[in-house]
Amino acid sequence: MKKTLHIIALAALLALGGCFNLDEEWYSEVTPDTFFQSKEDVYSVFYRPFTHAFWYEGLDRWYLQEYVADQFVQPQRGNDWYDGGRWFRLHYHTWTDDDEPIWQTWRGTGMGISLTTECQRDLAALDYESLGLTEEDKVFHQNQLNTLIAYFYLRALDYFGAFPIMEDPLKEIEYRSTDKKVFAKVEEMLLEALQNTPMATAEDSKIIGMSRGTAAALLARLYFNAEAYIGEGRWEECSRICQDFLDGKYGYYQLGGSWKDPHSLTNKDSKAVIWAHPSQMNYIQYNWWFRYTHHKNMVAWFGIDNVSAYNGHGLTPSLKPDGTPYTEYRLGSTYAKFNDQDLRKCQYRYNGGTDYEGMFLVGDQVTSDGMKIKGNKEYNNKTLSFVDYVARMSEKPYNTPASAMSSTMADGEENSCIRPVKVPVASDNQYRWSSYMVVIRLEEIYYMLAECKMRSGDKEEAARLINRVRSRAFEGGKDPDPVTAVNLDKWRMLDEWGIEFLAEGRRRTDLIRWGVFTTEAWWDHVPSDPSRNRFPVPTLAISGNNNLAKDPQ
Amino acid sequence: MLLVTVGAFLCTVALNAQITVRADKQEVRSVIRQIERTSPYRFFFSSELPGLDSKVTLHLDNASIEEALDKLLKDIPVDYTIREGSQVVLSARKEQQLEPQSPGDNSLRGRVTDESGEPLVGVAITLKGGKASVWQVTDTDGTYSFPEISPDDVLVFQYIGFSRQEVKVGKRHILNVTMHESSEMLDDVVVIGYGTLEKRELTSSVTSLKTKDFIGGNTASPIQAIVGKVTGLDIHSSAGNDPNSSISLQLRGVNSLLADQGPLVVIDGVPGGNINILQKEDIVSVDVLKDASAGAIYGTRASGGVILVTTRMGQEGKVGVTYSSEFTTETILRRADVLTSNDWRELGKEDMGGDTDWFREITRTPFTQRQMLTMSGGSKAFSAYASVYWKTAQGMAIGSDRQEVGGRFNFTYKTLGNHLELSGRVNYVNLRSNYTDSGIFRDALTLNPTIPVYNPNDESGYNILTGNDEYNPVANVNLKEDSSQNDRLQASMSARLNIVKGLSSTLTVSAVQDFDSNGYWESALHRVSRENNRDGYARQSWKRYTGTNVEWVNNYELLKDKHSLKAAAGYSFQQTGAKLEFSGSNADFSNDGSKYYNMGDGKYLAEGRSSISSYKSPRERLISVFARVNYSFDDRYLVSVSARHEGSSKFGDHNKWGTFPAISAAWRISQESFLRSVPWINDIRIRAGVGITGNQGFDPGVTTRMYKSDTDPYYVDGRWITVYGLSKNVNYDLQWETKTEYNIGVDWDLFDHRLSGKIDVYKRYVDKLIYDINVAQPPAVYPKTTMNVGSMQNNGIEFELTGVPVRTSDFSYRTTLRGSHNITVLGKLWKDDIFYDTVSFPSPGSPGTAVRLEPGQRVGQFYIWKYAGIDEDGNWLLYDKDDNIIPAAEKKQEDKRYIGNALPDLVLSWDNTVTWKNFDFNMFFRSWIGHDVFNMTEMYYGLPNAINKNVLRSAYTRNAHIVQEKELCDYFIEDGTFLKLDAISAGYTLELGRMVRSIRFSLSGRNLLCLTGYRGIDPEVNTTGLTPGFEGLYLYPDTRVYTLGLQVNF
Repeated sequence: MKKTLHIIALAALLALGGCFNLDEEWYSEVTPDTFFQSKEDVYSVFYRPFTHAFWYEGLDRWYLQEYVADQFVQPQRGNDWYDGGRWFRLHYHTWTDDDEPIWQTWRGTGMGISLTTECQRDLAALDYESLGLTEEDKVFHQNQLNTLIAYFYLRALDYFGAFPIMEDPLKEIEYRSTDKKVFAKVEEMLLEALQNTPMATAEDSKIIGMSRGTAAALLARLYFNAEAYIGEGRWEECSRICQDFLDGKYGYYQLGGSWKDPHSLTNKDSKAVIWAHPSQMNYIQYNWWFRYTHHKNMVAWFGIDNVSAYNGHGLTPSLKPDGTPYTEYRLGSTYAKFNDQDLRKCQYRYNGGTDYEGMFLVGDQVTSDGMKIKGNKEYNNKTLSFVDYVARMSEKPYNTPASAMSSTMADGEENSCIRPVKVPVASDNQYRWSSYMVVIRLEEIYYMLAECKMRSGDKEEAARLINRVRSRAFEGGKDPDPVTAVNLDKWRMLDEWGIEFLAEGRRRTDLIRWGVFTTEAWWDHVPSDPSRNRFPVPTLAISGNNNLAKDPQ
Repeated sequence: MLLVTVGAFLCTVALNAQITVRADKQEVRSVIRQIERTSPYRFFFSSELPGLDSKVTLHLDNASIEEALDKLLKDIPVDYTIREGSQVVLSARKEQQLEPQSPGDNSLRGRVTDESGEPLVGVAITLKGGKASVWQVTDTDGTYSFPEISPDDVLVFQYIGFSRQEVKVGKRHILNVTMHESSEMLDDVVVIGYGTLEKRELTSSVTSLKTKDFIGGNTASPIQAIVGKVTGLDIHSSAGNDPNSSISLQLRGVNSLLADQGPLVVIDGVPGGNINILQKEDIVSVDVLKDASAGAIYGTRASGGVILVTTRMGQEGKVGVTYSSEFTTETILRRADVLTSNDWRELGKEDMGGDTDWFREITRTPFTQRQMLTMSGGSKAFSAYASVYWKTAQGMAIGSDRQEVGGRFNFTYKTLGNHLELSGRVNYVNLRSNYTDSGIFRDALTLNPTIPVYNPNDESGYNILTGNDEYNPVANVNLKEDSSQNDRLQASMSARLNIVKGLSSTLTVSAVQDFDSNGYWESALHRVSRENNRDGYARQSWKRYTGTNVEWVNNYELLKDKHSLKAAAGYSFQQTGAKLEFSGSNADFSNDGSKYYNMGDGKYLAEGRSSISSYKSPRERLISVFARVNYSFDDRYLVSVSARHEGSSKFGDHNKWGTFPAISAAWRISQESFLRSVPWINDIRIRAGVGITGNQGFDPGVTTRMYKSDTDPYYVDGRWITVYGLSKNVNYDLQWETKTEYNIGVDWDLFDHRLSGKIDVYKRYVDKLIYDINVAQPPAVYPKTTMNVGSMQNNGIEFELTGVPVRTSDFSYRTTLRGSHNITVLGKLWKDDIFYDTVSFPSPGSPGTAVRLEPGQRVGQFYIWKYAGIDEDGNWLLYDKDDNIIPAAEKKQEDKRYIGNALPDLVLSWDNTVTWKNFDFNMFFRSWIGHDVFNMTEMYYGLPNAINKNVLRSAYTRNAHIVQEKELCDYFIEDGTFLKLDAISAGYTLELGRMVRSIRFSLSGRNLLCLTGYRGIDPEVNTTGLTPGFEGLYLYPDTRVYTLGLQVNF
């Protein structure tokens, strides 16, 4: 009996020793402690915030710049795109604190700041030399990440004004900060990065990552909008940076000869691109806009696959349902703002290789082999034809004149609105989605400088700078309606911004800088309230941190 | 594994089971109790056995059981037999066999069996009102004989655990009797986890179901055979009676936000088993531990209650063989009422020339069959139960079917004078499923009914629809294959050592092995292939999962005078997770016929467009020690105390361990002297208990800082690299979610077991709720962090009332009414003003979210706009927050309000069983009263503004005046109160001779009738989880299920 007990006791002891191990064991994921084995691993971590930045450029952030402004509309199309009135509210400037695009923008911005900061901390703790890199690499990396953080804060300032500033990643944010503090934070980080970031040299990679040119361009953007951000004009500083840019002080940048250059299928070789995200079929593909712009049956027109299409937004109409143009508004009428001789103002076509023409889908959609693309809603089995008005013509009683048809956000059909093809779509696999996603390009420096010159009274120089860019869109550079010191005013300046930078996610910022965002009407939009120049703190953000409910301090 | 070694050590130690008795002038009955409580032996006998009251004096030390019984029973006319080594069956001593004077004249013989045809050994048979000395007890093969008997005599059959039966002899010479199990008997054994109790010893709320309580007819999972039978247990199927549907369970309301919400399933002592692979014939009993005072012994996994399933073990005796056969088919009870092709044309809509009832095209009359053979039997040393089955099942929807082949083998080996017992259970099932497409019911609803199904000019023979949102559902299903093969193995081995009297030690090691493979293929002719200009698409995925459990349990029992003590203590180890997954896809194949079997052939691989992925989830461990003591004094005052100390690998270093105690007590007031003499009271008991359980049923990795690869790569120095970043927000301080539950109940059993029932009232407080909560970014990287956020409360009442209005030898009627009511209220959530909006309604329309979870609010409400009417232009009017009527276009978020209640005020079930001679008949009703259902189908497909889409007939009747696009409002909420005739089953048992003992025929119908005012398909929508009450868009039709069953006992 005693022996038995001894055996049991011994066995139990052994068992207890071995079987109280509660360690987690991981297989598909790794802890940062064991991750870094080579310099490739450093790059793997360094570029993670950049894939976030790539995602950040599209969708909700873009909606908040374009759907609320005068160039784009997302109308209800029958049963589709009502979405509980979400797009109506953006268009009419009646958005609420709960609206999804605002929350997605807030959280995407906050995540950009946190994710980049975490990455910066992890890399700062590494011994670069033991991983086959140098201390200079480390400084460069840290400063690039600083520029990226500054970029997210700059966007936060633009959307929300007083965005909370993270001083210590381990502490909760205690207050919302102020516009001025965010401005100062961005300025400080960019100035520091400007000192410590080398100029881009290697042609292939100069537009990926944050070069000195990127930091400078962002700083110019900050000063350019300073009046709107903090009520204090910093035109001089903006002007100086832009001039330095054109003088080659931040790297060798040069305008391309064609209007296609910055967005072409080979734009990674463009000398005008300052910062871009890479894109290539089957890797990261810059094509989020495709599904929100195009009709699903147009996939066959483009000759591509593996892409869904939801037939969403288009250009703000230039015409009333009866075909007469809108003359009562200075904004909107997007398609009409393009000169009829503008090479961009025609049906987009892909001609094989890297060749294409036009920038819009207009009228009947028939492929080059004569295949008619059919509708599947109001124009079921009828040839799809994109029109420059919004009205439910499919339901028009025969004795009602078209002029009596209503044209509002609720009156879209599947064929309503002209569709832009800002970035070329190639059916050739080699070039499909090969246009890099451009965030900053040299044309913006030209236009910023032009606007600064115009504001300081030098309209001649302003017109020269704009025409330098604009003339590329005309056959032989022969512009029938160039900008002149006489015709250049606020409205012409805004039109020029809109034409060159159509669909590049900046329209709202331009309208606010000119003070017309909430005071003007266009198409179905009436003036709103000055408070609409900024987006509110989303309810979900407040529920995550109640301090954000309080006034900025 | 070290513990296996321990088991092996223990197994080599030889010991003798010994009986020690100290009795001075005690009743035989009480000496038997004493032996039961101090040894592993269990006694089975009729309380009417003669001589049990006689007083004996007996002193034994370490005697053998045989010696003890010989001495104890020497003066009374009682014999004993020992079954399975530890079951002592007492029977009246057979009188000297008299030679019949004229054989065949007045003799009677027969056989007594249970419902499954197994012979019953030791059934006591007496003559009613006759000579007490005429006693008979059935033999080991269940037979008995009376040499002389009068046709007027009435025989009384009695057997422990079974209902007493009286049969008049008449002119018969052969009388076979089937005994029916009884649940009223207080001596019934109830499984409570790490031990058993007799029913009268219970101190907490436990529902115990036996095979006979199961509802007849074929079901996808055996658990569906107890729908409505356990108050407070909610069982919901994802797709009607489809063989590939999945089942969700919930007990006493939702009890967690993020963590596991369903009850823990324990099969034969092994926690976490898969109940769906059992066959109902394999199951002896299902015991449901409802309140935490019983469940806390299972610690962290028991927050949602515990379901204990016990499977059949072999019995000592001749091998019994049972063959069962079931044939099932279904018909439609309700389907969506859509416009026909004629209606469509009359409305002047686009005519495509065909006449198609899409719903008919995608459904069929399914046929399901199941064949099963079981064998059971054994000797003193070895006994076993084995079963094999084969099932082929079809779903109502085309393309959905399933084939199952499986078997179970349970055995017990005993040696060393029953001191060492080795037992094992092995269950293997092979499942092969084909899946339909979940969208086909939606397509059938919305497709233009004038579109033809077939197109003889198309290569595929089908009219392939392109350009539309909808697919031709017939072509969609038939031009692809979505199938899986799953192997499920559950095996456990245990060694039990009966060390000294009353003390035993059991080590059980078990393993679960799941192996799943899935193949998906689209033909080159399938629409998706055409749209993507490729010759077909194929994908394969493989998963492997292994779980391990080690349970070491020590049981001790002690009886002294009026004190009775049962104790259990042990160690438990569970390892799960580490699930390995691998998948790959390719497309554009040279040969369509190879499906997904020649995946390397596709051109996408060369083009860099194929995909491959693999994943292994982290390992998870749960380790604990536990103990429980049940003490009773004089069978009058009972108390149970338990505690479990448990650690989980998912928590941070400082928070891994938690302690989960419970205490409960019962007072059998009927045993008090002032009630003992009341003849119509069998038992009255008052119970109260409190217990704490934990919950850790969330994904691991919350407390570890991790890198994960992003789905997007990035381009660096001329090549694409995979980038890594933080995978989630880390919370090092995460703690156990705990639930404290209070339960008070009363049980009664009156009028000779003719009126019994119970009432339970409970309160559950869940604290430190684990949830993914919104956090501020920055500083957080991701918008949500898993945290302990708040509290939740469940209050409820449950009752059960059983009456037996008629009970004669030929005829009995038994009826049970069960009811339950539960409300769940969210308490605190992190910070006071936090809320969470969920249930996002899909496009078209994307109207927003319909549920808000907010502190202080009941679970089950909708959070939507309030309908105020339709104006003359057909536009929606809604109420704003100040109850002014506004056009829907002007609505604001703050105008939304809490509306309705998706959880029934009362859930009822009414069970009726009639037996008449060899016929049995059961009728089962269920009803939910006072719940609201959000009819999403009506909202999405019941309005006339659909373009080129078919709609419900209501779009042109009830909703014809609505012009505008749908609004998220209570116009679409309907009262869901219903009464269902849930099951009717009838059976007839034919008693036969020696070779074939009996044949049973049965016919059952499920879901036969539904009385309701609800306009959708089925008002019995999902009420589990936090967002109950929506009838979704992928409407599986409501069907009646008919099953013909045949059972042959050899």
